[in-house]
Amino acid sequence: MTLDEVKSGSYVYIKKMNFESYDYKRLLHLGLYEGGHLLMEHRGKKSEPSLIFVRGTFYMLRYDDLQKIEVEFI
Amino acid sequence: MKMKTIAFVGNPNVGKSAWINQLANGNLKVGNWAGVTVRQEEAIVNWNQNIVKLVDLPGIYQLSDVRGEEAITSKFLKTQSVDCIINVVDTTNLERNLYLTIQLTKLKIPMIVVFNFMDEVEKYHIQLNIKKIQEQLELPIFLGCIYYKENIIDLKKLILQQLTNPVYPSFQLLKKDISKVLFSANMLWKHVHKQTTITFDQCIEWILYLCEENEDALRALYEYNISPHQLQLPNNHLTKMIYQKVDLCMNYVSNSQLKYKKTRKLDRFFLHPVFGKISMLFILFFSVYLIFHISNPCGSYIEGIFELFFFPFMSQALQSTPQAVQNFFIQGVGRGITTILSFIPLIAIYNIVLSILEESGYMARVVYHFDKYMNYFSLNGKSFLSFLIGFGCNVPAIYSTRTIDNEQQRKRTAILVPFMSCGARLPIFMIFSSVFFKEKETMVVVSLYSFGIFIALCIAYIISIFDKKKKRTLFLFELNAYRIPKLSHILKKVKNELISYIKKAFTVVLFAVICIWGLSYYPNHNVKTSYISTFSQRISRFYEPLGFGTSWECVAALPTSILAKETILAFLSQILIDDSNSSNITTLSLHNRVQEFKNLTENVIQELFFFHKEEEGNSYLKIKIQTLFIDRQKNLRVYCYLIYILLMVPCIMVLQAVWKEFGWKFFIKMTIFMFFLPYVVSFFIYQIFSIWIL
Repeated sequence: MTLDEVKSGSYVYIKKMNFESYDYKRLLHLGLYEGGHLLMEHRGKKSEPSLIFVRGTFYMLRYDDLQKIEVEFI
Repeated sequence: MKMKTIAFVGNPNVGKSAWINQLANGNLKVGNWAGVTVRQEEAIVNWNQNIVKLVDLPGIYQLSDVRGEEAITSKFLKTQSVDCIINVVDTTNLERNLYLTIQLTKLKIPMIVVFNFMDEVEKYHIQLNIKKIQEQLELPIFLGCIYYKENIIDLKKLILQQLTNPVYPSFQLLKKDISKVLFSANMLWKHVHKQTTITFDQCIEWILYLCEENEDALRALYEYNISPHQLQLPNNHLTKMIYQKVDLCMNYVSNSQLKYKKTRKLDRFFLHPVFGKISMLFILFFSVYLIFHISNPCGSYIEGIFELFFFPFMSQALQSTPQAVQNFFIQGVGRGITTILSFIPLIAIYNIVLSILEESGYMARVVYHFDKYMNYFSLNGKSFLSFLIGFGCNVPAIYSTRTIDNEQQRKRTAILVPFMSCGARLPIFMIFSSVFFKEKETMVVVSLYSFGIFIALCIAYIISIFDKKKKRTLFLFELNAYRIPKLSHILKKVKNELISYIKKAFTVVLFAVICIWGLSYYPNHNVKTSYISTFSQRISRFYEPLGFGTSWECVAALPTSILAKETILAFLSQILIDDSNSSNITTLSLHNRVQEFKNLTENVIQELFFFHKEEEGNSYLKIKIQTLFIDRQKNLRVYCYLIYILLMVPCIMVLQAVWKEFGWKFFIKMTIFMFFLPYVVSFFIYQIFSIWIL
């Protein structure tokens, strides 16, 4: 399952992140890494960005990027 | 005695500068260094015979050599001789802040961790077991709040203690991981020791860099024809270890989620697809209304005071001097500077509103709403943030494009930023719209702002069509938790803005005003036959297809705006207002002038607090501006003039910022583009709409 399929208010843990090296590293430093967990705060519709909560911070991510994060429910 | 250097490092908005200001005890010497984008400020203090340099470094989330601000901070810490690091952390968000703390220990520089915002910790009922956290971090922790004086003294003592008896942090690897690192280092040493003189310790260091996915370390590995798999390197080993350590610390923190309760509640409304957008439009429109409602009467008030007291005093004082001297001081310097100073309330209110939006965290929500639309134009939400900053001043907006990862999008944003009407253009719009579009001035100014955005987006769309190297990059944007804006922060920002505005008024604008006076006074001591008039009347033919070419004064004002946009009004007030306007005031007795002053004050209070507007108390400048365009098409001509000012080449400071950030080639292209664009746009608007208003 990818992050775009997760409903608002769900806690998930990250299984895999399919990003290029630079983006991958950025996400890693911000707390998104395989094995880490996050909360889907607010899932936007297809063209709208979504809001996730990772390690005490709210981040906004686009739909295309959500599709690159494979997750599983905790 | 050798000067000791103390670097203040931490995430953005954790209060580093506030601590430095308190520690420097008001003796802050601020020095702007290279980069300009990200200013490193320093204060030199003398503590018990110790000369100490306190360096405020830009806020970062991680030590990285790739991104702008992070690279500058990392480079400073790695290359300069730093005697002690003060790592300021937001205690209400340790989960995020401690990542950098643990990364910093790798530098092996003596360090103190300042747990800031302890007042908020109490407010949110966050419980901390400091002793246990300190055991995990193995670093001295200082609990503090900037508002308590005793905290400042205690921190000073602790810093001096660290300077005299430095304790070096040791980056502790977790036991189970040491074996993995050693195993990989051993494998690496076996592969390379025959080809090079590398030691085993260096191999360990190499492996640690590889664990961080350091590009240079990886490249060096490939040079020896070794792949990371051969070394059985654990993936993102170090980063995960740091998180494990942060998690261990977080075991001793409870109730840390309470802080976000309010933010979640507010975001349910402000990020709502429908209500969020409606409220955003309402907030932005209300902000503009507030700026106009307060600044208009206050500006007229300042101008009135100058008219009643300053000019009569100057006339009397200069009575015995030659005509040219009188004209220079009253018409030249006096008029120019008065016009500029009358916009102080506008600049102040504008910055108060902007800081409230920024400090409260609402600006980030605006980015959230706009990202979707910006995406259509191959831009992203961060571009919109630069646009918003541009409404204040285009210079920081150009620098703020550094946060955009995609280089193409960054350049595109930089081209579009000058179309965002900055604070300096606002007075021009306001004065013209209040003269020619009475009762509709707010709408006109809002339409000009919107037109700037519209043109910017059109250009972005056209560029995106022809952009063949389109590359999608990750878009990640942080939304801060809501905070009640601190009055002290707002006042500080407003103070800085006003100081820079006044400085500009007495340097750049004053210089321009003197030049303009010379050109408008000579050779015949008459504006109408002056050099500037003769030259501008010839040039204005070129602007006739744009509508406003009928007024040579307006055309002549345009080139002066390259120095600073405010100069346009200073120019017009010099050219348009002559002695005859103020002669009736000069002849008033002091008693009558005081009476006039009382009436003026009463009118301002009525307008500000009771929304009661007196019958247009026009200033001389407004009366004179009214005479610039008098035919049926006057409103269209003025609107085209304002559009031209909106889109024309930005001021010299913005151009300098563009040159520094993007190089001279980009600078030239942008300048040429911005020279022709306003002409073309104003031309079409005038030609199309003049058909209706024949």
